Amino acid sequence: MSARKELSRALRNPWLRAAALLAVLAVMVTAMLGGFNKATATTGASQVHTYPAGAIVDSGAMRITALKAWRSLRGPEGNADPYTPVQYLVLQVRVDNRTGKSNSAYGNLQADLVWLSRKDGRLQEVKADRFQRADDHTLVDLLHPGMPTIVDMVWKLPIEAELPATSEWGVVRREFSPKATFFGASGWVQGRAAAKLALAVEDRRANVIAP
Amino acid sequence: MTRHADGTTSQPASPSGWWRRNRAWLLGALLLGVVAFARPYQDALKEYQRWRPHDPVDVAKGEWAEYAGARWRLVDASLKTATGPGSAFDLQRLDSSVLVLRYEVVPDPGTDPDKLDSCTGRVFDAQGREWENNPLPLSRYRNPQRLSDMCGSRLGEDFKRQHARPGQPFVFEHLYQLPRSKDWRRLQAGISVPDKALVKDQGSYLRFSLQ
Amino acid sequence: MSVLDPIPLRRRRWWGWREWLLLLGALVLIVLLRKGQPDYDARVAPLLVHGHGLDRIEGRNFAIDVKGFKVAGAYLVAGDFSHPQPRQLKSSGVWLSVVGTLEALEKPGIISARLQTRDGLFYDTSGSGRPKLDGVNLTDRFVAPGLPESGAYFFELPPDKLQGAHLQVYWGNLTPGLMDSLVDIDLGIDAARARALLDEAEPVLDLRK
Repeated sequence: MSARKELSRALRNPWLRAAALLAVLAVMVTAMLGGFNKATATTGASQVHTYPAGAIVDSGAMRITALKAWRSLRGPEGNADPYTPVQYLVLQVRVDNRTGKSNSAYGNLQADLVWLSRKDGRLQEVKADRFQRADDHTLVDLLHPGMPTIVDMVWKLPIEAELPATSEWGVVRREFSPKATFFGASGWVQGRAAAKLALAVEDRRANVIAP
Repeated sequence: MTRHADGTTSQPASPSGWWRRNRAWLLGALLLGVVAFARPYQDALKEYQRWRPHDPVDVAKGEWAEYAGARWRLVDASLKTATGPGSAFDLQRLDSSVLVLRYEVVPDPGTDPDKLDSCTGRVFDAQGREWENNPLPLSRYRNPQRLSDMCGSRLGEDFKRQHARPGQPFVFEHLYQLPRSKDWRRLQAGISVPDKALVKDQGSYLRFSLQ
Repeated sequence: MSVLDPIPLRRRRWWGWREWLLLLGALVLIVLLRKGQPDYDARVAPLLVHGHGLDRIEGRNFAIDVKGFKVAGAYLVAGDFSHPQPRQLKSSGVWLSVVGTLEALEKPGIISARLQTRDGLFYDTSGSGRPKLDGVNLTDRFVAPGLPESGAYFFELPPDKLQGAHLQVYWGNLTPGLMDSLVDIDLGIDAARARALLDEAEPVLDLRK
């Protein structure tokens, strides 16, 4: 039959009328709930609270207390890179792993505590390069649950890099989800920005012996 | 079949008759049910087998065999018992010996010899126990002729990589750390090349007898 | 009509209220069955092999023979290339070393261990470099069939978690393999044993040969 006849028949069909009404209602409700708005690109880093040294920040997977920060030409153990002169930015934190399982420092800690460096006016999240124990300066491989450890987080920077007197670090939330992967395995999933840490960066570049 | 006033039809029914009347459907449902379990199981089994060694190409000692786009031959098999600290093998434990298997491979004209570098070797006994070639404890050994455990290239004297050439024989060695009491002559040696382009059925492998 | 008359079929429309009820019942059943299905973690959970105390237990492809365990406050280890002086490995808890022998039964590889405390926390071994004792630290030690490896696993844990700790041993060097065997050994540390271990613990145990 002709297209016009089919269309008029369809318009008279009560089922199709009901479906069309439902579709219109769905679109209206979605629009009212903000479903058609432009997605915001910010992670919300500008809207989080800033904490000073000594405050305990809970990111879900960890409880972090920033202790102090410094910049130096030597790593925390006192060694300088013999081939390339670099600058080290070190943030000393007490980390308490709350996930219930031993976790590598290159796991949650590296991903969730980032240095906010300002480059060309834009904020960049930079991950730490290595992690050393504050007591004996050995490399931290695992952070065990319920055993807060004082860790020196080390960022290697170009020797001529300029740093402000106060630097900021971002802490990202990480929550446990019973269905974290596609297959339904449980895990700790990174979420939004949780807090910022602002610490004065002590300048130890003039130190000859101790970093 | 009786026809009723409202247009529907009915058949005089009896309980036993229902089974007889529907036996075709029931049989079909049973067959489909069996297939619904058996086929996925078979597919999964085939997929599992594809990656496990199950299709050996048996090679007698001294003979050539065609595999992965090349011809292979076991040239020599010998057991070294002086393997302790201070020997060329520098093994810490004194209850093991080292089985040295020397092979020759001639890549076919169309084969890229570098693809053979991913080859892996193992020896296995009649009970199915396996040992892998060049394990970590043997990593300090340096072959005097600079023979490598890779099947397609080796590091030459000038630290430049020497590649196998199509049509030319290339010698390499696989080393195995075995218990001292093991009767090595009853073992069989295997070589697999995990490259899917050269070996379509990843379950196929070369199996050399050492006697 | 008597009860002996056959019941006529197809007297009514093919889809009526009974069919709607059956459909609803089927949907409810589907929902209940899906909810009763075990979740992914339960479906791929490793197969536990239980053990108790000092004993030899076999899993798939490996066996562990636990010989003993000891607690220490810190370890004194020899220096290395980057740090020539002997150094003390301290911990914010205590050190527990579990001495044993590992065997690979069929194929070579690495056998890992972790502790499960009675409150469900997991403590992995602290890494093959902590302490770095070649030939002793069993973490990341390569084991081949017929060549058993002896040594110890080293753990750091809070002293109050010693009681009721289980040693779990598994194949591979990451986490227990899906549906692979997981040997769970109850070390038999009750409150009295935990106190005794802590009392006997040396503040600094010299591990230099």
